[in-house]
Amino acid sequence: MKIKRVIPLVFLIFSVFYLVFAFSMEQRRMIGDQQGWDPGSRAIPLGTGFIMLAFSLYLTFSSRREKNEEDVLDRETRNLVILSILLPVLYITVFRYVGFIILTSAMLFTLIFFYYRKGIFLSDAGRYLWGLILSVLLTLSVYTVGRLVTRFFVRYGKHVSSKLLSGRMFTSLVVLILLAVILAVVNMFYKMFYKRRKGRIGNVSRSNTNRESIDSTLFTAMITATAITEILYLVFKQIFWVSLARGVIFW
Amino acid sequence: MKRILFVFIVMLLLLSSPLFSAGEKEAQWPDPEKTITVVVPYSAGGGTDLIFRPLVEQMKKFTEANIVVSNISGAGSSQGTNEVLSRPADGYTLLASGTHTVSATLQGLTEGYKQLEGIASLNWDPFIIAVLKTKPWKTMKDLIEDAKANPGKISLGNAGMGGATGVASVGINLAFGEVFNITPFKGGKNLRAAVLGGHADVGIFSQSEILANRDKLQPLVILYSEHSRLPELASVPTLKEAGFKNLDVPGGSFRAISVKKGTPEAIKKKLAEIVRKAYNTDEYQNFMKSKGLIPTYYELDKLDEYFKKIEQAYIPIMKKAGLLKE
Amino acid sequence: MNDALVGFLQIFNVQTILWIAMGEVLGIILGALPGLTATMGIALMLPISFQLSDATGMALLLGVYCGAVSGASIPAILLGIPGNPNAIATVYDGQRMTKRGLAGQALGGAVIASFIGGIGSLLLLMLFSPLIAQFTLMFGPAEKASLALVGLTIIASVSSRNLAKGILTGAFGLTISLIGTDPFTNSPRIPFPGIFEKTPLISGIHLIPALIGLFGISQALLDVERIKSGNIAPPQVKIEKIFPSLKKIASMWRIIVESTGIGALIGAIPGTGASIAVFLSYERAKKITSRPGSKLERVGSGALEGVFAPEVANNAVTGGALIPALSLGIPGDAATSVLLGALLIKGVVPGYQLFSQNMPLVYSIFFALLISNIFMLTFQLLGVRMFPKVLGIPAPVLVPSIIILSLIGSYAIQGQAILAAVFDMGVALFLGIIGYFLKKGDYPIAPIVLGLILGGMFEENFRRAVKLARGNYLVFFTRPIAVAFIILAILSVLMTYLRNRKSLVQG
Repeated sequence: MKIKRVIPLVFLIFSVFYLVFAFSMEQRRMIGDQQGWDPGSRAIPLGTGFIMLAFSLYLTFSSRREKNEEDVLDRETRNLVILSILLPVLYITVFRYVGFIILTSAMLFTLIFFYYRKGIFLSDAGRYLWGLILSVLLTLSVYTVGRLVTRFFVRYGKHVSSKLLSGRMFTSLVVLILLAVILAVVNMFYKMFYKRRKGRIGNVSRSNTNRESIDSTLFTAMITATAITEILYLVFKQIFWVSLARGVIFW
Repeated sequence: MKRILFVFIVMLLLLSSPLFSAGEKEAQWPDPEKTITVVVPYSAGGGTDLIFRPLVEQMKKFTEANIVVSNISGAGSSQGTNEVLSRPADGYTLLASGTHTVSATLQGLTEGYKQLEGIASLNWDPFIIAVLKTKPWKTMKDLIEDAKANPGKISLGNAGMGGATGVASVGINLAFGEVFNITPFKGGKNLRAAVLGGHADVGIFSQSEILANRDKLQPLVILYSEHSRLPELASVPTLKEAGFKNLDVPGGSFRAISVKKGTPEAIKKKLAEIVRKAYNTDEYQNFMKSKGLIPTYYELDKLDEYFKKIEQAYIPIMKKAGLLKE
Repeated sequence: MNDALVGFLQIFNVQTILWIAMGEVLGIILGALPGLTATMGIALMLPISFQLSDATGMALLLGVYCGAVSGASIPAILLGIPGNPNAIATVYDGQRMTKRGLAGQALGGAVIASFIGGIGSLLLLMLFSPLIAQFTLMFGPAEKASLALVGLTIIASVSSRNLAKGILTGAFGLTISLIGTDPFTNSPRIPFPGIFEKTPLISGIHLIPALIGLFGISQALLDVERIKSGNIAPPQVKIEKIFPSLKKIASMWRIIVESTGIGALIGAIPGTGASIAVFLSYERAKKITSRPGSKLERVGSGALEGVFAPEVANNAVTGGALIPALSLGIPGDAATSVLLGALLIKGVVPGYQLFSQNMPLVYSIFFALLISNIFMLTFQLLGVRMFPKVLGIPAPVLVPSIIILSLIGSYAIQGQAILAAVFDMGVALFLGIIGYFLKKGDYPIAPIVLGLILGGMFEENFRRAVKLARGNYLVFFTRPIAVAFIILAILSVLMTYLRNRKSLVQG
């Protein structure tokens, strides 16, 4: 099925349903309108419904005549697109129950990881799961440090009645700096660990370089997921007081 | 590799261990880290919004928690009201309630005040009926005579059917034998523009709206038992003085703060205290004076009784107009 | 004058200036990255601006807007890939200049051109928007309904080569705007009201999540398709001799004046946008430079003139597009439709009311635009060697960030009410997916947005007009302004139809 032919068809079906819906709607006039001068609550929906019906019919037929070659997506890319649609659907469905921190970190890691791999391959599954766990844990620890520090400054600021110390800008800035420090430390550990391993193995085989590239991908994805999650948290929750769902995190 | 990963995970777990002890007990109300939201069921910058924002500014002085105003407008005032009802009764969500809430409830748009409990009331803002100065009517008598001679020809605009101006407009129309063409506009701003532009003949306004357009608008009558407290509008006659002795049209908007039913008594008392302190600040009192608002302060149970009185005044009008949903 | 002072103070404070600066840098980065549009950048910043005061919020968005429009020229000049449609005409001479070793001058010239265009159109905006706004006092319900109709039909006919597609998506946008309750009777207009009455669906589709979905998520999904083809390598070009000589700039006065005019005019026509303006001004510049006796370099040969014309024009569009947005409430292009949405959500009513009662906000918009242009000039010139490096940001990091920012941004609008906020995320995602497929099928997105913005205005005023006229549907033909609007609407559809037919016959 070619998308250019499917779209008018979908619109056609939609407009039929919409018209049925518009006709089934209660026709109510403005309150206090005894004379019936108001066109009523159904007038515009019906009008739009008919316009949509007419033009989608026309497009359904005219698109058959249209000759168009479409660029077909290769399998890996198609999988990536499907992943990019399904994952947010899942994210939204469970958002209230699992909470912002865990879900965001997990979703970011997943997307970044598979985008870097340029496709979803079964052979990556083991590494992926490891990475997912690590990334959520790392985000959780950063989050916890951030909360503790923020609470400390809010309390201490109130104690010495300093608006600056307990203010949202200051605490966010401190947490942001801490985030950078933590990620830098993790990065250092990672580099050290890799140097040691490289020295030990010596001859680098093909499979090893591949593995190495997976590991570096995994690491980048983990660090980025953590950083973005925490920054979003700081901006929206800590600075703008949006109540991001806590979910299973109770602290 | 696996071993190193294992070490890494243990390290992370250790790092995040304080979080399991960090889950401290629920702090006393109000939690300084939480946000108290005052839901104003009209858009920002509108008449209702302008009355609550200065109060919220003052309330900030008397509580540690953050207070924000959230404008949730739509469907009269019922969308904002329903929003408050959909949230937990924990004292962190307040509703800017009042006559609009009563009207929306009677229309069956929301469970409204049946599910709400009053914290404290603020003031009455009496309505004034006005026309463009270039129109031929100089008194209410002129207008009514003309309207009776040409029924349906003169349009009477309100700022939305769900609200207090809507009820007042229907009340007036009924009182004078349904001679006006009642047309709702989207909020006070649009009603003002329509009357100033000559697209609607008569409008129902608050005092400050008249004041802002005094050179263009001719006030005919004030829908209240007393004269306006603003010196500029003190000469506007009441309905009685305009020659309509036996008419009683509830005209004006009453504003209060309510919470969802089931909010703990202790929290309600604390909230009432915060509102009272804010209400009694010089800043808010001066603000009310400058706008001609009539201070009407009731608290908690007394406020609930007062709401009942307003309801009783509204029911007959709403019934006659076919607005009442039983 | 007092209003101007208030507006001035609303912008010239540390906080607001910092937000503009941040928006500017973000805008330049977003603009420079191919695949991210100016509209998307503004849509992504909407949730943040929503949390700020009216003036500061608008200032932030305007900063992003100006930055994104001018940032697009960076990859156009260095790599021959436009960052977004604003720079599609900059590619020709910009890329050739780079090949001639004049990359620095092309970049510097583009920035200076953008600045001139931006300031020029700002002056036009300041001149014309209050004048046009004066007219709107005469607009009653009948006129407003016809005006909304004009906005809808023009965008439907201009935004796509296929008129039917434009009208269809426009009508689709209208149906989305109708979801919720009837504004006059509060009767539910949702399927199965018995079931869904207590869900956020009853409050209708909110504008901001819809905008974020249609412009942010749909584009991100399209970008996923390009991930496999790998990343663009950051260019390895020497950037030097940034400033073109003043004499050179002065010699191009004709191109500058005409491009500013073209940009502002095209920007002010609803539905058209920078992509049309840049080509028109580029063609004009070609004509001017190829005149016998002209001392200017021939456009098309890698001349600064060929960079100047489109770059002046695309920034002139920014001010031009704001003219109808502020004075009539009809956005000039997709990006301004988002800006307009930001104003509407704050309860600001464009037109006479804005100019008569909220003049400080108008002034603060003017000042914010001025500062944005100044920042654009300074940041771009200072960072002329730095900004090209952002082209190295890997897409695998960028795309997920956009997706998550879109979702959380939509959530934040009603962030105090978790259920409604989660619903908004769903709206953004749903419309994002629809937008993705529509874009793939060559259907225009802009009419949907216009339908969403103007749908309510159209319905309410249509019904109010008929009610005020005591049930007379012909009221629209009894008022001269309304008749003029209706003729304009019919003309816009007819012209497009005839043009399309002609091109069909010829092709």
